[in-house]
Amino acid sequence: MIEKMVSILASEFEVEESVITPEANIKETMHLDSLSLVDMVGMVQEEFGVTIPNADLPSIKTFADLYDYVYSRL
Amino acid sequence: MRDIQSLIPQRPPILMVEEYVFDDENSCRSSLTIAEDNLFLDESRHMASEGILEHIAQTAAAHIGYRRKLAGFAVNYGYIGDIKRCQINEPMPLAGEQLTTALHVVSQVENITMISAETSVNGRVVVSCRMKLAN
Repeated sequence: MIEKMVSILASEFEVEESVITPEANIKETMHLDSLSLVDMVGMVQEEFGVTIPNADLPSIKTFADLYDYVYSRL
Repeated sequence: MRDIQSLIPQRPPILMVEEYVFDDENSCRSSLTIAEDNLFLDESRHMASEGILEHIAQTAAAHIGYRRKLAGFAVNYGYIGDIKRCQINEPMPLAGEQLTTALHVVSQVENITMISAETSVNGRVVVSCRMKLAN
């Protein structure tokens, strides 16, 4: 699951896979603004069938947070 | 619903949705019969792809507006954030033909909504895309 997510995120947001480390900050690493954050949420919804409500977004800061969030809802 | 003007700010001659049908929170349909005086027709009476993208954007805005109404909020105005994965399949429709659009909400973060949409004419998809709207 993690490899698949890293691959998709790197492709979608045009960053090297090597920078997507568990402890890295998602917004800083992928240069996300409010307009592109919806792309990440959409990717998770489409690829993993997991919906991230607005209320949960502030708690997802690092890629490890994202992996844990998705994995716990699969 | 035909009272589309209560959901979006556009008015004739730039109004590009005739009928809007709410299916559920995340999907809707719309249609537009292309009038002979439509602003997006070229000299050969074909609809420009930009006109169909405007039709999709207005459909999305109507859906966002309708959802806001259902939730008890006022309808507000938005703008297109970006368009991705756009596929245009010629030939473009002619005046007199009807556009039908199926739209699905992919995701939403605060006031940004990402949708996917397909617009067809007589069962043939002429434009599909993803679009982000802020409102």
